[in-house]
Amino acid sequence: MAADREISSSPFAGELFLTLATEGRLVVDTARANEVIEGLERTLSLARARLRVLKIWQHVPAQRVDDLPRELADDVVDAVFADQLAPGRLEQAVEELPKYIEALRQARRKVAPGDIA
Amino acid sequence: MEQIRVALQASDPLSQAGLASYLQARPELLLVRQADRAEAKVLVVSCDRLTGEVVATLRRCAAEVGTPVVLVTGEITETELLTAVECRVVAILPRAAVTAERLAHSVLAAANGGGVMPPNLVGELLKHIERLQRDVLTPNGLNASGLTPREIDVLRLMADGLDTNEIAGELCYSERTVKNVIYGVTHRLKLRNRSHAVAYALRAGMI
Repeated sequence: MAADREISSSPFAGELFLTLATEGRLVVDTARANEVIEGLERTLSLARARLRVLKIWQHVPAQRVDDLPRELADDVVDAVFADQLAPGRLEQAVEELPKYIEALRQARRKVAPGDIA
Repeated sequence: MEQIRVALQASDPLSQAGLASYLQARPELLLVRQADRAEAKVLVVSCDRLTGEVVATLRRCAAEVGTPVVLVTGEITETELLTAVECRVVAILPRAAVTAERLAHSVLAAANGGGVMPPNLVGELLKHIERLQRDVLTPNGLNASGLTPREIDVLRLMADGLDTNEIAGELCYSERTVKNVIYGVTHRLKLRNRSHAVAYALRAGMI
């Protein structure tokens, strides 16, 4: 399957990684692949949590940061500001990162058959 | 010994002539004519930059014959690298550093690699993943360790032996905030207590 990316498109290349892994062109040492997968899963979990904060905030009728507990207020400000700088980046991440994870799982299996997560 | 058929396409006559001489000097390689490009086992492409025209050529070659490509180029960005990889580029040689030896080595590896990318190219792809994660997390005040900068600050001071009151004073937080930060991190990472949190962060190289 052609990943069909354009040079100046999104920074994500999940489809390309899946294609490379499916075609057997991407082969990654099992230990290294596991390490990267672990990091990606952590990043995905953080992105999902931050996206939840953003969605909740967007549905709050009166958006007053002062009404929020300090700990939550910081997260909301970070999330809203980051979304203004790069709109939709978190949504893209939540959609794309699982493709990288799957690609690395496949690439790892090429190295060690039967070594399933 | 069976010779490996190599096709060459350079963006300028000088590079074409120079690279051709490198390839022809190796007895194990056979440089084929442009018209016989489809018979080549490896394609060497030389260009100053990965322009739209070069990418179009690479895409066409990848779609038509799927020959592994050794790319000789001036400079390449991360985005261009991904595009190149998509077009079956399996080795990238900087123009300024290309030698007959390096070129032959890359061509032989491409011919014998069965399409599998060499470790250095895989390394570049893994760097892309690292950079991508930073780009997602940093603007959100997060990092790949899973800890916020504030959590790292608190854990670092805990590791230095400061109690809640002292940490609050050091970071200009209320004691309640410090307690909430500690509770948040221990709860989220399923750690038993403060010592466990500090040990976890130290072991993982987070602080």
